[in-house]
Amino acid sequence: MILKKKYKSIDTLRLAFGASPVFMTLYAILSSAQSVVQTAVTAVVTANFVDTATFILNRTRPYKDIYLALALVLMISGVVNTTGAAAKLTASKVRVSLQRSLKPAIVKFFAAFQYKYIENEKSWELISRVSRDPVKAVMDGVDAFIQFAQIIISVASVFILIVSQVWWAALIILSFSIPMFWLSMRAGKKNYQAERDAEKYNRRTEYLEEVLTGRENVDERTLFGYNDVVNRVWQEQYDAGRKLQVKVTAKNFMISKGSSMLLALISLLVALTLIGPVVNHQMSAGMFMGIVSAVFGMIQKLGFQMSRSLENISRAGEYMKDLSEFVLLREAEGALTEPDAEPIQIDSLEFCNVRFCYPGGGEPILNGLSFRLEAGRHYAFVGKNGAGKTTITKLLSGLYTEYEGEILINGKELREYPVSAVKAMFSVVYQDFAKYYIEMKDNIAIGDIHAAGKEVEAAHQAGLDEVVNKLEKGINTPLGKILKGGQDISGGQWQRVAIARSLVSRAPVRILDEPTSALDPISESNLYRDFEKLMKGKTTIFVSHRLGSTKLADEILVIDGGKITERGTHEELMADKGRYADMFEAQKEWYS
Amino acid sequence: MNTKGKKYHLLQVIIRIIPIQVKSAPWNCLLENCLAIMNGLSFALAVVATQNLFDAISDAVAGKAGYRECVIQLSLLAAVTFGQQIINGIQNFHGIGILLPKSGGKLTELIHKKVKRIDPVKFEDTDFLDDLNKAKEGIRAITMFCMLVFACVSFYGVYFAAIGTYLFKLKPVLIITLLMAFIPAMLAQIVNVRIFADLEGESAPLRRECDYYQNTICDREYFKETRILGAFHFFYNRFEETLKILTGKIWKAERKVALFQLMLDFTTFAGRAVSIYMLFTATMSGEITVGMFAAVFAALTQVFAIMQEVVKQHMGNMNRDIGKVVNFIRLLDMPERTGEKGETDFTKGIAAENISFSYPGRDTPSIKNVSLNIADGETIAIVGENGAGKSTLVRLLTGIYCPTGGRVLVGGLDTARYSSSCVFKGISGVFQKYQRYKMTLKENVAISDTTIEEDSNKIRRVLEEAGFEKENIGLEDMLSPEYGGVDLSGGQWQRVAIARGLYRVNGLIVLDEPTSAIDPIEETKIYKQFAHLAEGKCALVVTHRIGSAKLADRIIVMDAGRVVDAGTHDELIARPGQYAKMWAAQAQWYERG
Repeated sequence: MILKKKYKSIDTLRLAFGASPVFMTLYAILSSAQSVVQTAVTAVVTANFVDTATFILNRTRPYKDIYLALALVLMISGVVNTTGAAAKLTASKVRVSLQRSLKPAIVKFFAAFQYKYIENEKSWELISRVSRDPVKAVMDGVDAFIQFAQIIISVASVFILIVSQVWWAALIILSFSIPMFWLSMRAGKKNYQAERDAEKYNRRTEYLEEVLTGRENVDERTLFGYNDVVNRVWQEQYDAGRKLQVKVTAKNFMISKGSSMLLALISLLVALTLIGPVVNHQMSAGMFMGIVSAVFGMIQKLGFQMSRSLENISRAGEYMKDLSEFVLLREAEGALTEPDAEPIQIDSLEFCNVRFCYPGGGEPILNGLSFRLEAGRHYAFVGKNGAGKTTITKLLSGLYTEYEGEILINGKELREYPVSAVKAMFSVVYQDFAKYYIEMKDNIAIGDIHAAGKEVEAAHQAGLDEVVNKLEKGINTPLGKILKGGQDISGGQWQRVAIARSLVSRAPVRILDEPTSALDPISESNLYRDFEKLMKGKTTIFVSHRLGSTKLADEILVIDGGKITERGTHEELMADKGRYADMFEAQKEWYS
Repeated sequence: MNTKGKKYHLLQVIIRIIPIQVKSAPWNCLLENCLAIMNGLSFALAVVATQNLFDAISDAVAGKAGYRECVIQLSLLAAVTFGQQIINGIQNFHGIGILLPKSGGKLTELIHKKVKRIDPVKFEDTDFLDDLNKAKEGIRAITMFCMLVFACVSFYGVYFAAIGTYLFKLKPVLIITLLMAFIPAMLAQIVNVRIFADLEGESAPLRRECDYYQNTICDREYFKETRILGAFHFFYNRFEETLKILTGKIWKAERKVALFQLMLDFTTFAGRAVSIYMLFTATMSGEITVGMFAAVFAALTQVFAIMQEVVKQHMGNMNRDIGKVVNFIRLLDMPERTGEKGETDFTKGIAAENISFSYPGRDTPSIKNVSLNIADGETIAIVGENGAGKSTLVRLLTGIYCPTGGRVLVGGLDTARYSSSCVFKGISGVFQKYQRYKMTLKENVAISDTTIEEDSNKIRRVLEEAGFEKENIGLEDMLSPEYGGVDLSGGQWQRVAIARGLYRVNGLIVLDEPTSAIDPIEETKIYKQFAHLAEGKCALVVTHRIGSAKLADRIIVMDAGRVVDAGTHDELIARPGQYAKMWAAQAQWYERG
């Protein structure tokens, strides 16, 4: 469905055609037919009726002639009335087809991207923009093109009609219409700079509104009672932004009204040009009425429709530009593969002088990091926030591969293992672990997608028995409020689900990455103890900025500035009297 | 206040919001209506002008009039057309460019003022937060909605009345035409709404599910883990399956609507056919001229199109927006916290008399039967595990929340009876979730007391007292890179928060220790500072490291919403209770070797 190529606004039509060739063609045909019937054909039929009626009233033609004319008028009126619904239905079909093909295609692309694009703000914005509602973006483009085509067809068909009547009048009309038409199209372009200036005020008022009505600061807001003062500032900012915006809007309206006026002028000039031929009997009165009615009817819609369709086409162009960038983002090799069924046994894990910078992130976060871990032992990584602890887990799990130096697993470089093997090596409980709002059983089972059937045991081990018993359908109950019959569980219980997920995994190395964001020191300690108990005899890595975890570790590694600054058992580090000893003493003081 | 609440009918909503809207910008509302009336008249005038032109043309062909007459009639039509364009432009600009933002500002202020008076406990209720967001969305919707109501009366009403009069004058029976246009359009709208409401009811859960599966693959929250677990195919299959069912349902509904629309289109057509036939007979019998016929025939297209526009588009939009508008009204109708005036007297201390408290929408109470007296000048430390109810108790003791059972007396005032501004007058605090206001350093401190003039000397003094160390940052410096200012580290922000707490004149201060990620040395410094600040003051300190509670005059031990023990550190450590257990649990990490 989606290829790696450069997309332009016109490609919206191609994508829609690809999704549903038959209905897209029908949509185009019906829409075109509607335009011709509404304008030129209606004009001809009206002319025929008026002229016939005039003849009859002048008694130059028999009365029965009117019936054919009347029937034609009615028939055309019927066609005009019903093609709209049919065109709409075909458009819906195209939309549904796009939904089925385009959306999954985008999701597939998205899922395979290199991880760096997800963490980088700029690329993330692009990805979000493209994937938010691709169907609407494409369909808006399609509709805009169809609308634009309708305008062209309407104009052309009326023009052809005029040519067929009085060719020289058509030439005159053409000579003044083209420049004016062009002018009115040009005028539709907008002034984006002024809009951006007004946007600055909007951002400020939005922030102040958050201060006034947000949840985060409800305690301070209530106690300090600053609402009125902040509201006054909000008001000033809002009014300043509003005044700027009024100017922008006024300008835009003048421009778009200017173009409508030009169109109105065209239609009046058309009428003026045609008066001569009518008076000189080169054109019938009925034809004059038909054409003038068609032109005036068109003008009403045209000014609005034209600027809107052009705007939407250019918006579709913007989207397609984003899409072109989107498809060119690089995929991570093996991103969609599943972990190997049989994980490799790990004897040693070694970082040799690893340097790593986040893409576009300036300072290196890991700066010559070296250490070696042996199987079957417990390790604790401690260090300040931003010292690079979490980065280590991201490199290990293969999310980032563009590091300098080497990471050796059993002496072989990590990047040389197949991705599926790396996925099977580590089981990580992240600080922001995923809460999947699906059945609890599946929530645990995806910890090892090759071996179902261990969920109940793992839930039991993770201390979830009580929760399972309380849930309506036991372990088969969906968690969260997305699926039907879903139930909420507490944050601590979610944490246990995440641990159970890690328990079913057969990965040889387990990592517990800073589970502290929402926990106080006491709860954190309990978590470490539980985890350690469950992971007895396995290789584990605790990552934290607190020191509670270090008691359970066989060895402690202190990270600072992207390097290991201290390493050893607790006793060794205390004897060294380094930063670790300082931190430890500072906290110990409370308990003496 | 939730979506299951009271139902509002269209008329009720209109009656309720029109005064709110008019009050927000009275002159603009008047102007908007005047413009709409002129606009409606100009549309009708255009039909008459067209007819006159066509009559002149007919006469010219018949030799009864000359070129000049035709041009005169055309000029009249030109005048009407341009006038119409200008009025239309002014009206649109006034509505979108002036009325909408102006009212938007006033209505937003209504929300700000309302939020100030709503019980803060509501902010713990996700339903309320949802409703608050929806009410904000309702702001724009209200003005749009009212503009539509204005348009229906002043523009469409005038337009149809004028056209109706014109048709009636031509031939009374022609007025039926308007009805012919109205009935099918209305029917279509009713059925459309019903079918789509059904569809929405059926497909909303599916859509949510489908979007969710997409999120498990594509959302930042899940991306990393789904990839590493290799769970892509698991979720993708679920995504595709749900999508298939969902699109199937949508297509079925669309087909149903289209079929029905087609039927109605035939009815509309029949209405039009009857109208045309009536015109036809009138023309043939010489009651109206052919020029009239052509002008009215063209106008018919417009009448039917405008009728469709009113009923289908505008009424559809109104129907869509009414929910948002109702959300706004519901917010305004929410009960407010009010109370008598009074003066706090902190020599009376703070007393909690057998208080209980439940968060709205939760079954289990968060605080159960707590009684407590705090004397003037006493420092109390509150300890307990996550979720023991420490922060809730503090909010009750300061009057931020009112107890659901029992009562709290702050400086002699019952927090449930007296107005909160009176109760809060002598209370300050440093909260765990202290705010990093994207404002200047000065504003960041002085925001805690806006009733007094900003006092730079005092601000400097409290900053110093709080240990704020950034000498190079001035009081007027913006503390936000987003607005061209500087950013502070977590530790420095914490100190700004302390200075903020100190700046407010107080007889009682709440100090909630931070648990967020700061390194152990910084943590120790701040905890010590808290202890120092509380010394000799009436203070409530929430502690997370049991050790830092030692310095308090009295320690309150909480577990599962109850006060399970109280006393000095020495007393508590001596007996085998919760406190000693927690002490041991934390101290053990520091006993090694």
